[in-house]
Amino acid sequence: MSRDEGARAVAVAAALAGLACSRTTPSVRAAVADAPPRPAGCVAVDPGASLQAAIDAAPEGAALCLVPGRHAGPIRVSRRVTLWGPRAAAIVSGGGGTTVDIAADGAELLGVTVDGSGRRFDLLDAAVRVRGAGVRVEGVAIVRATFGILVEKSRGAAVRGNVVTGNPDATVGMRGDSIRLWETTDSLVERNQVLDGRDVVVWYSARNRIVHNLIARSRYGTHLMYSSDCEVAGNRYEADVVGAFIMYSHRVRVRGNVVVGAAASAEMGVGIKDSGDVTLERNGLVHAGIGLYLDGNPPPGEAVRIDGNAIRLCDAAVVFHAGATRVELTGNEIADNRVAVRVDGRGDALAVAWDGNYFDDYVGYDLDGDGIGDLPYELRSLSGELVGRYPNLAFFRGSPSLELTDAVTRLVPLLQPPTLLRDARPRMRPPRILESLP
Amino acid sequence: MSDPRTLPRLALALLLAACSGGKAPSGAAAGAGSGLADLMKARNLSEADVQAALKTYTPTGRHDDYVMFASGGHSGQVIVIGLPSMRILKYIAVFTPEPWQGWGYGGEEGQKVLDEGTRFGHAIRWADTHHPALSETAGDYDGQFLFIGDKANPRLAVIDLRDFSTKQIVTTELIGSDHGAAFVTPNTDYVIEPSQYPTPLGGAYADVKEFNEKYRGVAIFWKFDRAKGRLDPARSFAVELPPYMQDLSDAGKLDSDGWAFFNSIDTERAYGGDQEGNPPLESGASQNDMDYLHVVNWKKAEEVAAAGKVDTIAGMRVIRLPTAIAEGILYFIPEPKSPHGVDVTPDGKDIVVGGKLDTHGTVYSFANIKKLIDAKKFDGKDPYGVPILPFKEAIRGQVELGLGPLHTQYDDKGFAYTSLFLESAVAKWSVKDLKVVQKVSTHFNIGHLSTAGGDTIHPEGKYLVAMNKWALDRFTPVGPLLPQNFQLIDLAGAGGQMELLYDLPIPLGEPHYAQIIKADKLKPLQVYPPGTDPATMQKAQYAVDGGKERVERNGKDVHVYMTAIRSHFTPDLIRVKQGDQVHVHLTNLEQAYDATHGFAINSYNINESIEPGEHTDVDFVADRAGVFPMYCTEFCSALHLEMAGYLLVEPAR
Repeated sequence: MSRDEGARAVAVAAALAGLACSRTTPSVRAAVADAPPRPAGCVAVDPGASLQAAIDAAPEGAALCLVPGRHAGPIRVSRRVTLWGPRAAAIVSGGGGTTVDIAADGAELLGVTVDGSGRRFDLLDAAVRVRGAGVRVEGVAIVRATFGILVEKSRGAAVRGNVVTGNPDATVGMRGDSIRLWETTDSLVERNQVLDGRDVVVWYSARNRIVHNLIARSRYGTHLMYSSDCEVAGNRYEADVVGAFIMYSHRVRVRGNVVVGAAASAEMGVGIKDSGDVTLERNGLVHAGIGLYLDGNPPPGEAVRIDGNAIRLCDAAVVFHAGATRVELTGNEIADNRVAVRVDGRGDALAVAWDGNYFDDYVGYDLDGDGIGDLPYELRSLSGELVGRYPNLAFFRGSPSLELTDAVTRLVPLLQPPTLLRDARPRMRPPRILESLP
Repeated sequence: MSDPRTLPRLALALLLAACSGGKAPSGAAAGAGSGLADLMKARNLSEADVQAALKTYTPTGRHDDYVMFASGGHSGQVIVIGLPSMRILKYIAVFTPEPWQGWGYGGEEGQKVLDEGTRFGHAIRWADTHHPALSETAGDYDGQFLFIGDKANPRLAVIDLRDFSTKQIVTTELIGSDHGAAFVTPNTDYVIEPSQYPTPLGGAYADVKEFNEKYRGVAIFWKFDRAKGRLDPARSFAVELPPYMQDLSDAGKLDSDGWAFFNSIDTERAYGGDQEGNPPLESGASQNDMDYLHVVNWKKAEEVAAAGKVDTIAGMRVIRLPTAIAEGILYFIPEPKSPHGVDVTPDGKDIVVGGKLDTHGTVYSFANIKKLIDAKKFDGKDPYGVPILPFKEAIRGQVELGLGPLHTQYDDKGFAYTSLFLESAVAKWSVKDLKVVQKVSTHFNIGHLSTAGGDTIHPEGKYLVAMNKWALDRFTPVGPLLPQNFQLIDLAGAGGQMELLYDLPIPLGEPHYAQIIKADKLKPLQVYPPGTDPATMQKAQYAVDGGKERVERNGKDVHVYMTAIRSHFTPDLIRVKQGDQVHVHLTNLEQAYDATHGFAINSYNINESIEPGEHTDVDFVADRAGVFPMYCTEFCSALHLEMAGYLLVEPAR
């Protein structure tokens, strides 16, 4: 009975020590950025004045400082200017279209609030749209917009320290993307707070860094598609449907992220589909339907490396959907999950390189005291169909494999539960990865 | 015990006894039980496997309950599969020459139909078949005809289910490809074929930089003449559409009868040009968040076409875009994230759209749509002036399905089944509550799915076939090109859950869609009435009666009136002179079931299949002198090898 619900609750509490798991008040520690300083020598623009006219009249490289109050949008920034303001200065949607449309290399939007946009999804009505090279959108608060920040066909954009708040009253399908990079390279999305949006999307966009953001109560925390050479690091995903999903991309580093409390339709911590040379290092994937989802083998010459991650309190910690070769799992902590590893379609994960992982149901011993179990860890599968037919077997779910094998052999003598995976050097003690994450 | 239906249950009972007691049962049952146990052990089968086997195993002589018609992908054919056995029953020759059926190897009938598919003077001998559609009467499959679309060279074929053979191919040079064909209106008044990749209409040339101005799409409504069993191009019409990529289609039914629905992608109007400074096409087409569901009032369009408010382009009557807008034929509604499937619910009240890059299915309410149209409540217009209905007011809701929802099918209990491409799964959900109740994994990358009667107003549920694009490790390896994988799913498994039963590798072509009909709705012929020309299903002009075999020469034209019956061709010698035009009129006199004969002539690329009662005409020029054995290619009797003869071509002097 060590795995009954009561014990699980204790385990939940233990694993969440140091992790805020509230579904209503996301932690903001991951995304704290100072407000951008007021540019020297900037020209004040009063709320009553035409912001558009001020922009159009400003020389290249000039800075405009918005005085607190409501400034009428939409505006189009087609020259290299800096728009700065405190949060109390709001650029307000006129009711339709995109509110701040930036189409100039080196333009900057700093500190202000952008309030609203048009409501058309088909026209991509956004608070801020960026097209150009070296554009900065920093410290901006976005509220009541359909889409948040759209960065299109741009290079070297910095989207930093913004707070993009979606509509918590709309179902997730009826919200727009909070931040989207499309055909955009060499850009930085850093220390933003993204709340109650739909997705943070990076599509057809190489060499970007998505780092130290807080993305909460959204759908895809970060969705990479055809976006190679990207880094997804130090982010915190709270109560999203999917933390990070990497699709059709190569050379992606996913490092030091925490995905916690993902629970809804797909319920996934991190998913990797048809990608190669993806590295997952020191991430905490906690409380998801599926902790880590792997679909499709990396191409020859490439690998998926899963090293030093903690995957805990998931219904299934690691799921291999199609194929399980050229995948390495090393030094991970797989504990307090209902099922440690699942392989869809009756395959196994024997071709996966398992080495030095910690499994909490390991029952071997360590006579030589080197921290590595003297017997290999083997996991045998208990098929869902079997549990359906013999509900008593569900009792053994998550229990040590030896017990399971024994139970199955007694109950269903015809069935040999196949071996799913073998780790020749299982760790005796958890590496305490979660505790080391921010 | 004598009722054969009890046997599977008995086997299962024995199995359960063997499994649950842990103690060997006694007597005769022990023998059977342990035999089964040994078998299971030897083959490493679980109890669930054995149950699945019992649900699919169909002993010799037993027929299947359902018949599935699947597109044959780039084989250009249609595959007929029995359910639940998943036995392939037939490949129907459609767009591609097929020697077993004598399709395109000298027989006039096949040659003529294949030539109907000629485009721009090019005889086309392959197709990329996508979506089969069974003919319907009052919204239910009637088992009479099957239509199938060719995406590559936009064409439609008509298959007569009396003899499971192709009767007609139609094409129009108006468009350059289609995808959402074929879908039928509830009484098969029309077969729907929308274009996919926009082009200048009618095969004209314009540089792709003039995409927005000169490229267009259309939705074609091919008129079906049921009495003739043919599509009638003269009574067909098209509705001009903006240059978006129109994708799948479905016809409204019951409440929404008279309307048709089309997905679109690439409303960005990206056309590629990755070497010309543009984003690649697939990236450009994924820029926007939404595309447009096209809502077409085809009954109104029919009236407008009848009133002559059309331009004729490449022989097709086209309702131009401004006319379609002015007459209230065409409306758009935004639809999320690279939409793909558009599937009307059995009651015709809702339309379900899945987006390839979405996690939701969007359920549009036809009542809402109608209300918005009647109130002229629009959210502006697209760049071509087509009114756009407000998204939020047009939908009934969204259902959170999972990653990459594509296509939706229905059962008889109010559930819908949506394929999830990215997740390789089928989600079962309640149409009323918009809630997922179960998911089952499929292997791998599911595209379409099909339930029994899944497109009718009375879906039967029962079985679902997942049509997976990748097989990966499912089968014994056969080199780098793998079969597709059809997976049979029992919709009424333990506890009413979906249960995966069986895999069928499809070893030729990449099928897309399929429809499943109750087997007893099909009433195919066993044999043709004597002398039948399958093209007309009437007695053939040159049909030969037994005893009337002869050779008639008229100048260089040599008419050979020939019969075939086990195991003899009469005449068995054909004497002609080099350069003669030879007309073989060959009737199979057999009326015995399955007594098919073949007729092949060496080196003349001729092979015909002549089914019992069938008449065929084979024309060729005897341009090569020599002695050419001819023989029956379909094993017919003990003296089949002797069913042979000679074509003697005397050299010209």
